[in-house]
Amino acid sequence: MFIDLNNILDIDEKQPPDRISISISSSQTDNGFLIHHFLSLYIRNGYNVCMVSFTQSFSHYNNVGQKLGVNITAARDNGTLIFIDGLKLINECLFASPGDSGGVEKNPFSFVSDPKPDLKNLYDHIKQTITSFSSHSTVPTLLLMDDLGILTDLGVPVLAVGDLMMYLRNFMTSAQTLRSGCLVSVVQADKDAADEEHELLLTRLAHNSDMMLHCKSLNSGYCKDVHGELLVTWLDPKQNYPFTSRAKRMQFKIMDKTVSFFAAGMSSAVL
Amino acid sequence: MAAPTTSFRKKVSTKILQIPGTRPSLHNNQLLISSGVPSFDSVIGGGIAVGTAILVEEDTYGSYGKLLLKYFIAEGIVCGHSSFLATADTKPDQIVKELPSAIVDDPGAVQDAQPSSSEADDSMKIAWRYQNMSKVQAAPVSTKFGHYFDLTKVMNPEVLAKTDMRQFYLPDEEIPDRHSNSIMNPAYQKLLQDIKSHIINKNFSTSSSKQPQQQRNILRIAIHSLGSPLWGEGEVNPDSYDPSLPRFLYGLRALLRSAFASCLITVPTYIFNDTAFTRRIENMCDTVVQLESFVGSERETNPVYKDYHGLFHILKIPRLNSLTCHMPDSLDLAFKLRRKKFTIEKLHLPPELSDTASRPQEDKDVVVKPKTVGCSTGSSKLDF
Repeated sequence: MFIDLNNILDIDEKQPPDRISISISSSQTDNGFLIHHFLSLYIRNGYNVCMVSFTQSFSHYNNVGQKLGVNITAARDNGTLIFIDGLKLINECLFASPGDSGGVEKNPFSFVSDPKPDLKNLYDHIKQTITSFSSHSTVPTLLLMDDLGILTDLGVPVLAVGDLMMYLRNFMTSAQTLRSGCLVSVVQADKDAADEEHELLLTRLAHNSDMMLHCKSLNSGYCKDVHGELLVTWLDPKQNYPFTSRAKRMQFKIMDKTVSFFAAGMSSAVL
Repeated sequence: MAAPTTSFRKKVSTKILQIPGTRPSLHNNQLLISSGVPSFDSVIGGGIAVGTAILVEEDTYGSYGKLLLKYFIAEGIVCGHSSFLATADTKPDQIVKELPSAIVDDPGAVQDAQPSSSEADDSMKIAWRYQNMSKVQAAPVSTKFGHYFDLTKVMNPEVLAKTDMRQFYLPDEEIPDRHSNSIMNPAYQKLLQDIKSHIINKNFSTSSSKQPQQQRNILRIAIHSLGSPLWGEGEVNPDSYDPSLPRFLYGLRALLRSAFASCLITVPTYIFNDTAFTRRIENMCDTVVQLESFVGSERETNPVYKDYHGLFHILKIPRLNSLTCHMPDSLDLAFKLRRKKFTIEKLHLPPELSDTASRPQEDKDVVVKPKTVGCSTGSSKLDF
């Protein structure tokens, strides 16, 4: 959890936002610190977290959590964090021979090997996981999806991923449900590569979120002391026409245990 | 009988894995292995982390990419690691035969070893207690981290015969035909299955039960020119997106994460027309570097580059167990190949702009302190 970032995002440290959908994207830089920020912010406040990771194993998040002063293993053991290891589960599907489908049937990611993927199983699995939280507590829940771009890379159509996110958003933020939640989704979309599917997915997510965080590399190129630029956009929740949105732009430098933010061009390295 | 209990406990250092040819990273305590090129190790932050995959994007003719692959395997053989070599065009045998021989830093040390052992049999008269000391002093020279290789000599065949190497030559393997509903290209699938079974059978998996007498070892997986048409890339309907290669790399990544293994893959990315596809492949790997050789380009004759054979681009450095990653000073790197050395050097220094700048901070020194010495008026140094 980075206090500076909370200030920039207008987040109350003691009361993380709920009923909100946040999308994180990045272009030619790393957005990992944002994921660790939200993860540690919710765990520290004792909120429920359901994390679906496609990129890293549990130990990675745990080790970074230790540096940030949050015990993620303890959170998992006492049931406030449920970690769905997509990397491992998808791998099981990739190795399943066509003959035996017994083990794969229960796997929520079995759609990966399907020519016509149906993500309903994954949606049901996540829904079930989150419902299992709310049965014994009433605190808000964070659903964190680390890198949806991986799904499209593995051949899942963008439409299917977009639909999944729309359903999940409805589930997490709609007023009908008793629980309240926050949905954070991540996608990597490099500007220079012009990956149509990733851009399409990002656009889909943009229509689906209340706040967008976009990290991008510096236009001027690589710098050892300024690692990138963070663009924060708040979208009007009522979607009134003409759309009004508020934006902030900051540069950042990632350090071992924290991230420092400064206005563009105000790095201590150049002043 | 109850012994007095005390909270005092002898500090037992936690057993760090002692595997020859590895060292922990200073940055994030990951176990690292050398790529076989010491300057390559240093630019990517000390070495290749065990459990990760490194992608080398080949130069246009593939010769330097292949050389890095040879260094990677040769380093493993010198350190006593196991290896898994997969190719589709050159036979693995041929690559193994051409592996360069390591340069031993101190040739004297090897020769001295023999006579000293015979002399040591003489019983000592004065410092007799030293007689019981073990004769072997340090670890063998060959197990240190990172070596230089002499490209003019090939590796000793006896050493090669002793190493544990699994070879995968695509034309010799039985590859089933591609079904419309298969998960990926059958060549990739076969390779992935083979790697998986090799990791399990030879106990490289982190979850495998380890026999006490058995020493942990590292598996080095080297895959040459993956994604070339020889591997069957782009065979089926070139118009639609074929997720075989990303799926293969994703599966490989998951395998490596739970194994004492590292993988070096060379991919001829210059043959892919779609940069988006290249980017997806890069996203699936942990470290990505790109070689850009001057051969055949007009840069070959450019006096700026006269000392070098090509440019070395670092595209991605992994963030493992930490927020940060190794941040090199400069990304303008070039490589050159000498008979005994492949080196990566800074092409030029970056502008001096950093928090820890070596330039003097004039602003702070200029502040004039009010002089408190009574005689001085401050107008002259010799004022009394």
